[in-house]
Amino acid sequence: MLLDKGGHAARENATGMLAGSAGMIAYAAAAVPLLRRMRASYAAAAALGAWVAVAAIIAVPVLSA
Amino acid sequence: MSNPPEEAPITRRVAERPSLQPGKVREIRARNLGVRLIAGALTSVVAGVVTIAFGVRAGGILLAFPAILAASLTLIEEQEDSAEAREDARGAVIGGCALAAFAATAAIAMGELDGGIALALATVAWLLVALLGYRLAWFR
Repeated sequence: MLLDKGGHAARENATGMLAGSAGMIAYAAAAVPLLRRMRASYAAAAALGAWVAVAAIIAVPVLSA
Repeated sequence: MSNPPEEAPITRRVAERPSLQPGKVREIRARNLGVRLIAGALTSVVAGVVTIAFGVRAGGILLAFPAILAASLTLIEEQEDSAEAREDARGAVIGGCALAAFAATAAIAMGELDGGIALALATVAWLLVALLGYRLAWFR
């Protein structure tokens, strides 16, 4: 992004990444108890709900700012 | 029926210390690397499409999509066991925090500083948070 569209676009890209990384933290944290209860393939899929939820919540102020 | 051994939570330090074991490289399977590569590549493609369709901020959200982590958890459970997969997930919590530090630093520095310097600062931020997180969470 930096090379293709420059610093401003890269900054915008990184700003969006804040929401995604919050979702990543939630995903990993959710995966731990899920892995106790089910197979990893199912747990990995189920934990995506945490990523979507948290990323969406953080994305609202990020995208509207 | 015996109870399974208690696993250490993320806040409990464990005795195991990180060590370099070059011989482990021989145990890497090309298939496992390929799965992770494909997961990451597909996510990058989707992020690119979202960027084109909805803008760079929206595309940036997908840069932190846990595709590789999801693939890794499945592969680790397949090769080792569920406890190891849970350890991987615990480590990814710290990794996620470091990723947030990278994104925050990049969001501040990009456009203000030279792009290469901004990237370097963001990388340093990632490294510091990752090492600090590991130190606080696990390293005795």
